[in-house]
Amino acid sequence: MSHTSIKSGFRQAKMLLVSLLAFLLFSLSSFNSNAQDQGKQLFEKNCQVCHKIGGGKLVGPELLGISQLREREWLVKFIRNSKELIDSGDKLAIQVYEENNKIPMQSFTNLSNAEINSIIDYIDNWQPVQKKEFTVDINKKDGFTETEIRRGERMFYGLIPFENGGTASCISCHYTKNTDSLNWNPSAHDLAIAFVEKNGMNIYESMSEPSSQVMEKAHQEYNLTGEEIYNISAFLSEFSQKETKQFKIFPKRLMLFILFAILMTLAIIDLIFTKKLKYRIVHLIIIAVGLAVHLNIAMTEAKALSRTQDYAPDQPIKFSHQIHVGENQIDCQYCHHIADFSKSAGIPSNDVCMNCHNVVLAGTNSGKFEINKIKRSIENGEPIEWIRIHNMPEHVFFSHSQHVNAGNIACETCHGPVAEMHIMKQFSDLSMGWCIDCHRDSKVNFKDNEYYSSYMKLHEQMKAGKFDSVTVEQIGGLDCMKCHY
Amino acid sequence: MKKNKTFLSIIAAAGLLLMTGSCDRSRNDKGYEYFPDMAHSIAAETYTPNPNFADGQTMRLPAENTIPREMVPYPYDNSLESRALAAAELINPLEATEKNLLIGKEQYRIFCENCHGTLGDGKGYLFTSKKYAIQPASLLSEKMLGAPEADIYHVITAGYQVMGAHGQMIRPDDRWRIAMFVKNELQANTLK
Repeated sequence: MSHTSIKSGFRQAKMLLVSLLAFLLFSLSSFNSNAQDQGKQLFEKNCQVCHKIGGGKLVGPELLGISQLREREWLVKFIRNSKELIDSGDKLAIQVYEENNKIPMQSFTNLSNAEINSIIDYIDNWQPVQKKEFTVDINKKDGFTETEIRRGERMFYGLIPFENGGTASCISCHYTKNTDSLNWNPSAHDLAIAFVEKNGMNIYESMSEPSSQVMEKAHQEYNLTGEEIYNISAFLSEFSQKETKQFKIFPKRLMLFILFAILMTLAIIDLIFTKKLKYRIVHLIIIAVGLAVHLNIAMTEAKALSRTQDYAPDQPIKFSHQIHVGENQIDCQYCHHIADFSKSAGIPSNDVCMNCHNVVLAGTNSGKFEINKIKRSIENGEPIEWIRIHNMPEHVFFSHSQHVNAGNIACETCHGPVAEMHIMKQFSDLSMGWCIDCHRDSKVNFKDNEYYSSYMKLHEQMKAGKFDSVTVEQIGGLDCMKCHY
Repeated sequence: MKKNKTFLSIIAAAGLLLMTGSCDRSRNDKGYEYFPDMAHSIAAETYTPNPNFADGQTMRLPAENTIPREMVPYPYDNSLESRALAAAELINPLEATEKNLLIGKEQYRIFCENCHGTLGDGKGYLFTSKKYAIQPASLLSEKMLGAPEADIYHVITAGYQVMGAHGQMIRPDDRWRIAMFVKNELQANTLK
């Protein structure tokens, strides 16, 4: 009895041990893959700017097989603070420093030992992506037959499902038409243009080597066959020739205008000829309301002539002011750096973008596609053609410097809540009445600005206590020649 | 009477439509113009496309081997040697008056603070919010405390390591003012 109980006890212990071991192994392996993920993420965030694995030297040296070349302990020290190591006279560190054009490596004192080790583990375990062999030429970019193009189009639109799965069609993310709101995914047109470019990636490469986490998530379940890639390539090459279609919105106001025109005509006909309605008051009400609606529409439409309020065009890059100004709190004048001494606020040059985007390689929402457009523009030497939103007519002079510098007016006063705009739009109507209103109300820094010291009469009146502040109007802000000359 | 009601409801619905409906234009549509006789410049403006040049731009670079008026060429690049050379050779033409420091503070707020931090300790919002992965340099490190104003001026102008050149964005005098602000206020506060 006791024997068996011991035996059974032993067996239990063995079971426990096995299950414990299994659990341990499992958790270890899952921990391992977690560490691998962490290493990958850390590498992409911190190292990728200057280093490549298996792609030669960038700013810093090639890292493939680095742990066979150097001791791990030394590596950790060097990554943490290379400068300290060089200053302490470490020969190897000085040699590395001199081999790399004496560009010191950034110190990473914010990373823990475990984190640095996970990066080195990631580099050790890194393997080049296995290239798949295809029977068709997936690099072909033009000269497709009509049937191939049409078949590709049907695949792109999701009319022919993909053989190896993938629930959503291409078009559910990559729109062929622009929309009212911002779609962060590259449009079909953008994709097509990037694809037909000289060194544009083929579809297999760009889908199997996702360049950002956003893209990796979106394309995980897709595994296209060669034929599918070939057909979609055909469609894209044809689509790149086409213009993006403009979306249309239902013309509510026009419909309303027509509706009341019909109602009023019916009322007049009934009033004079048919006389079916007993009470004349009904006719009169219809005509009165109809006239009011017509006049209202005519007035708002007339007011909008030549003014482009709420104009928010699609820009060549999906640049979001909400992310840059709102989330990242970058000052307006960092990018529009000539606003305080120039007539125009300036469209930032590519160099300004690259001040941050040489390190920030992927956007939170758009991945790498939009940021890569800047890089492509720099490489090709082709400027990015931003679309101008705010534009004063030629017969008006407006200078940013006068308003930003002398007037000390905040950008938001005229441009509205830019920090909340994903798509930049014209907030104010920029009409003359709008200008004048502000000139009447705004006060000038009259006492402290030397420029106004020659306005003797105003100074005297101020001293006499007639008013305690001077508006733009009083210094000639409403004169015609102030803005029209 | 029944007809009356239908008429009224049509009018009410139309009224609602008018209240809620904005214009018929899509956001990509600029709308119409009315006799825009003097609204468009005949001469090419700064950012307008220009068919007269091969690259289609109106803005031109200065002719080769020329420099614009009043522009002083900057002979130092962003290497370590140039930095030491610039720090030794350049001289600040401005005085550290209250006004200059005030402008320097404002310029620092616009151009530097987001990375280098309000205090200059390299903990700017872009880094602490984890948007920018590489820690910006602290302006209060021993090395920077010992560096002359010209060193700061040079790094702003030509950039250093991952920091891009800001010379084309900030005017020379303002660069000196930023350098003075860093030296006289940010660093002076730490030394206390």
